[in-house]
Amino acid sequence: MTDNIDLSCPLPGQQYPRVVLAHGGGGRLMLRLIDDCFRRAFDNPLLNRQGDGACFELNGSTAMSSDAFTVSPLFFPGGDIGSLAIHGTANDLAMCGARPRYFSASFILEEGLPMADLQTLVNSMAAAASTAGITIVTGDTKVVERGKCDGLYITTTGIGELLAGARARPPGPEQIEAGDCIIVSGPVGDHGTAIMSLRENLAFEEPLLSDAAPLFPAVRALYDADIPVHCLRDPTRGGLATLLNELASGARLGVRVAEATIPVRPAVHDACELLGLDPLYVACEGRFVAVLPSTGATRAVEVLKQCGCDQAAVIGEFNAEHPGTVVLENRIGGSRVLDLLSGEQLPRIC
Amino acid sequence: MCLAVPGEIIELIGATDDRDNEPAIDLANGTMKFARVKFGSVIKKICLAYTPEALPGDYIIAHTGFALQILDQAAAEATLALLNELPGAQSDQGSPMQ
Amino acid sequence: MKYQSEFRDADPIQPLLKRIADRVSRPWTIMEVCGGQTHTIARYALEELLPEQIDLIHGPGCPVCVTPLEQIEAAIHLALQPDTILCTFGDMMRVPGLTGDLFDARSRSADVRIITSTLDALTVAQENPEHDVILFALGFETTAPTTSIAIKQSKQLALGNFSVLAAHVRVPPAMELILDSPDCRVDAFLAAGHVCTVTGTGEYPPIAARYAVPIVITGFEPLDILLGIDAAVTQLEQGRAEVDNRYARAVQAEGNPIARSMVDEIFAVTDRAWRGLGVIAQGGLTIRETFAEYDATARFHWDIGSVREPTDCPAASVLQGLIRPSQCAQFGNRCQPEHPLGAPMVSTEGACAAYFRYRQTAGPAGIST
Repeated sequence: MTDNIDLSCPLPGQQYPRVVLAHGGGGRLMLRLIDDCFRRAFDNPLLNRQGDGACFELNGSTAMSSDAFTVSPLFFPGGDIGSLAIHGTANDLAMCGARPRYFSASFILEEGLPMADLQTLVNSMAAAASTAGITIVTGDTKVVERGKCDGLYITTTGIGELLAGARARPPGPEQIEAGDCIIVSGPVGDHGTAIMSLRENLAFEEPLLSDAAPLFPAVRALYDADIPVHCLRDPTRGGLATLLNELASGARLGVRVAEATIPVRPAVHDACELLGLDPLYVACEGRFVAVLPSTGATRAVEVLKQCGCDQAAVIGEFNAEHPGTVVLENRIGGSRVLDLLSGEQLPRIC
Repeated sequence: MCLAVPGEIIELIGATDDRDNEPAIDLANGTMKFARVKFGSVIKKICLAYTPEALPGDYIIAHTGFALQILDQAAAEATLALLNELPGAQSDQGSPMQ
Repeated sequence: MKYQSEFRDADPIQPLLKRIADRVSRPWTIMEVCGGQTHTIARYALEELLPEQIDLIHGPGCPVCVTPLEQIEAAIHLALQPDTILCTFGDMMRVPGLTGDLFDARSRSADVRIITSTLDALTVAQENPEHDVILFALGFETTAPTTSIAIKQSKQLALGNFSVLAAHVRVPPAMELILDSPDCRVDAFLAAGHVCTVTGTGEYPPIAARYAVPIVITGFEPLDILLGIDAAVTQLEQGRAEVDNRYARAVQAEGNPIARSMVDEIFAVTDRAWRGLGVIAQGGLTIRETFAEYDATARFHWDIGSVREPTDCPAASVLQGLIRPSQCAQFGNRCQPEHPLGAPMVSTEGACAAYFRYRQTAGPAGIST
């Protein structure tokens, strides 16, 4: 047996307090990072086999979704990029009517990212995954030069198992019929407002938290109660108004919603007022819209409230009158079109 | 134009207040005052350079982080009184449109 | 008293509308000259609630939309220079110059930072001493004092890297331009309440007298707008033409003397081109010579060549209320917020953009504008 002669720099066992380029270099430092940071947090038999990929069995029909997370700042009230990376993809699967099961997680780390921050974020991911019954089975790590990314970016891809009801009738805009009601699971705009408030140095009497949270339990409750779900979608970037436009367009139907029925927290309303933003266009991360026959509306709201969505409410319905257009009725009897914005809403002074 | 929002001054922030890591601003005619102002349930730091006489408890109207004017409570109440005198204006509870 | 929810109370709306309807005996055209008021009118769909005889037209109330093309091109040019940071309000980011907007400039590696206060620009200057930091200062007289403070503070802190591209405009001269037009249809004005919070009401009585138009200082909540319209209609029906302050909780006759003197110290009144309207005498503010070192136009030199707007946009007619946005042939097709042809479609407060975004439905037949 030949001894391997190590001709590299004789300063191996260093614990760097920050990520360095070598952590992505494929050598000892990277392997140590993966073991000490990622494997230790995500610890499960599939991941621990250390294969290039993970092999597993699934029952029945599957759903898959992928999302990249670039949120800045990395830590915000109510969550961080780690937990968001789990909830975001898990919620996309939930919107397919699928229970999230197996995830991959790819990390792009910026040279200089404090190790302590990375560990906190990874632990946060692990906790979010564990709560949601998700196993992180494979992943990847790259390191880019300082300035080439914003701390870190995470991409998660998730695979889930469709619930029986969703297998029978996969939820989607094509299922929506004129007369279907629109239910929102809770107050809108919390996540985007929490992030914006950090940037704009707004404080709150009571802290405003991001609403990032797993949606599958509520979705499962709807299917368990035999609610005939036609479509499920979660409003993320662009908020509720953008989502309603997407549904109206996908369903080729009109949407009419009543402003008085859309739940918005006073703190969100007040912060948006100051920044000149409309809460209906501000991102959520733990809310969803369910579209179903109006005969099921009352029962659906009851079911949602029983699983903690205490501000769940019917906000409107689909119609055949103005396909592709979303109309908002205000509290004084007037109405206006809720259009798509061309891009992200920006704070305004005018 | 001119997004300006009414808020209540909660406390003045002194030049030596070290809760914020920002230097107090000195103008040739004196130190510029800041205050913590409550807009509903949101609290923001607002510059009182144009309303140096404003005190905690006063309501101001703020634009881009500056207080433009102290609001006149008597004038506001007079306007509301006129509105409430309209036939049919009163109901058991106000219903805000937000 | 919270000064906001009370003025959004739905209860007085119907009685107030009824009083307006009872007073109106013939058609009247009322113009508001403030994008914030346009915004409220559109957001609460107030026009559809008013009696048919009242025609609300939206004047050039959006200082962002009327910023001349030359200044936008200057801002883009400066932002693209190495070691330069341009700070501006979010409203300006999507306003198109000749070939693109500030977002586009960012994609071409310009360093453009969105701020919500002029003090933020000072912070950027302090944190980046090796960069030239330029504040693209827009807004009406409401915002001009905040630019004054930034310049004074910059002098105090001896920030050698800070300067201002001043694009402030003044409202009363624009009102006079509109009233001077032989085709002017405006019977009464709702004056911009927050502008008057700073300037006071002193400039308006001569205008009201010279042109025999009522001018009502109006606020921004739905009840404020209706109170302003009610006051305007009352005067019109009685044949009066006076200045009436209906935003007394925020506007005093002398305005804010401290803010006004700060503006006078830093700025001089100047003729200024308003995009879509042409040059308006005394329509803008320029930084005085004594503060030339903080004036980006004095510190930096650039030649952007001749700058001409495409002529398809009838901005002048729309901004003066001579035609409705919907009467423009390009409205809603070639010209939309996504790809505006001219000033009034450019920001959400522009007359055309407000019409487009907040258009009502006409029931089964589809959308009417």
